[in-house]
Amino acid sequence: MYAIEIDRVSKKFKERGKWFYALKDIDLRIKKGEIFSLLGPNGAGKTTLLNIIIRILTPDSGGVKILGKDLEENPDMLEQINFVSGETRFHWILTVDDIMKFYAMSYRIPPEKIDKRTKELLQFFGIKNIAERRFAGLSTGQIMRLILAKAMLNQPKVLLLDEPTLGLDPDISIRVRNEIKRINQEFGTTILLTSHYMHEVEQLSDRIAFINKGEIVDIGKVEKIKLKRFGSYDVFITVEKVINPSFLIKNRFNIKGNTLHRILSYNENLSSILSFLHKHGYKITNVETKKPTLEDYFVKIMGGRK
Amino acid sequence: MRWYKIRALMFMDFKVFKRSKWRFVEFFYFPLTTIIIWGLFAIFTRDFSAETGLMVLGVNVFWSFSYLAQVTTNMQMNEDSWSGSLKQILASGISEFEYLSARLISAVLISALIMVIMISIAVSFGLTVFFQEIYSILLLSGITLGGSLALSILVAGLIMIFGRDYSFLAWSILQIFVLLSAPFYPVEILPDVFQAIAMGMPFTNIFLGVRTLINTGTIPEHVFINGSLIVLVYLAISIPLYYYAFKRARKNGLLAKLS
Repeated sequence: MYAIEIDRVSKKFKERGKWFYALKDIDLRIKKGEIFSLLGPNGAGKTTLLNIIIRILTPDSGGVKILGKDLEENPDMLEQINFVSGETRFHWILTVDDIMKFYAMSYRIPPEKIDKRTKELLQFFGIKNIAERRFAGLSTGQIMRLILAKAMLNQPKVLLLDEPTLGLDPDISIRVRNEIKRINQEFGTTILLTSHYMHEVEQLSDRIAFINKGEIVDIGKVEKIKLKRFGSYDVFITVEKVINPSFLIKNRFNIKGNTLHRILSYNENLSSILSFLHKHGYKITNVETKKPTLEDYFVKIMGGRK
Repeated sequence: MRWYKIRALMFMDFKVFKRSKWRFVEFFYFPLTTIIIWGLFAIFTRDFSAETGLMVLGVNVFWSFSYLAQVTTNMQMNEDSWSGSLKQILASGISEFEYLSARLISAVLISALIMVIMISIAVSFGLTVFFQEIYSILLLSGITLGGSLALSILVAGLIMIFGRDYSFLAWSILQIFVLLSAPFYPVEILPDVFQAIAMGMPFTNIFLGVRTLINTGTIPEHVFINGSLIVLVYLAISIPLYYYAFKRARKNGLLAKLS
């Protein structure tokens, strides 16, 4: 059973009299405990998909299952998930404690446990000292930590994060990313993330799907889909001594001093190359790979856009 | 309908109410000062036209009550949209009817409390007939509440259909309904076309009842029956409209935008 199953979801909107697909036949299976990211340019359909999962938006066709149960038939399954976005806001006049208690009640946490759970989470995210502060008086970093604390109230099996670090300073972004990783590792929560930030996606995700114009362009492990698009990457192997240059050149190595450069296709195994060198008497002192980044991947995919 | 969801929303409403100074102004200051102003007017007119002053006072009690009940529901909904918290609230699994019900119950509790205070003040200004005919007043209050809540459901539906730009309906719609409900004068003095409209207004029978009570000491049965029937018609229109509007907003993306 998957944590999230999205079955052939399509959604059309009308803009200036013309219909366009915000999502077209989206099929996704996200495993339990996985951090899965949706990547794509503005307007690709990432937030639309999340809105469908949280039932703010109805798909034209297709459906969503959470932990094997159809959401439309079992709207109570929304209590098994939680949703936060970088743009999440709460009523300006409520305190941190009010907000936590409201959501705790809404997620049916027994009244006698609400105080304890709230305090534990505020402590976990380091905002216990501002429990009585009103939402309007919080800093951006405190808001993000409150959002994450609120997101963990119902101990969700699935957490949806829509651009969680949008507009945050780098130091706060790093902190939020660490918290996301911590939530995934300590609670085993499945995380579905959307982001514009390539390094964030690369750092956090087990798998990604690249969405463009409402369609999935690529899906898989980060390394694999990058290599699939680029086909190859560079490997620099430093050896103690170059014994037989012609033999190396014959085997597609470029030689620069003691460093051997080789372009490796994504289905070639680096360890077999190293074994090959070792077998022929080369003592390897250093290995460096230069792989395309997710940013390179994004640029390559979007290269054709005007 | 899950009670714990409704209770959670009501907890939020009362926390917002407790922490907002302007809510105090909205809920207590305006209605109570209105009753005091017209109470003093009733004292002033006592010597030359006793019923006129009391009638204006009595109508104002019900006008303020209907405004409070309607605006409380809609303003709480508006604030969820303005603060950007609506999406979070709905994402926690609260259904459209739980969301609406919680706001209606909060509005009933708040406006009923203020109604009790308003009636107490009005009685001290000489509107003792309200006290003597307490069951009629309770019945009339119930019909007023029904009409106001039906209007608030209608407004919630209209905002779902037309978007956030129409939030102003929350605090402006009642005025036109009251104007067309002939508050201080009989329906018969209106031009024919407005008479027909007035007969379909939810508050016409309520204001008629208040005026009749002050003039004669009783309210004819048909006033309650007609008033209740009209309120039922409004509820029968507004509830399906809200349901349709919510479903439509989920379909066309307006709910996501409102959030």
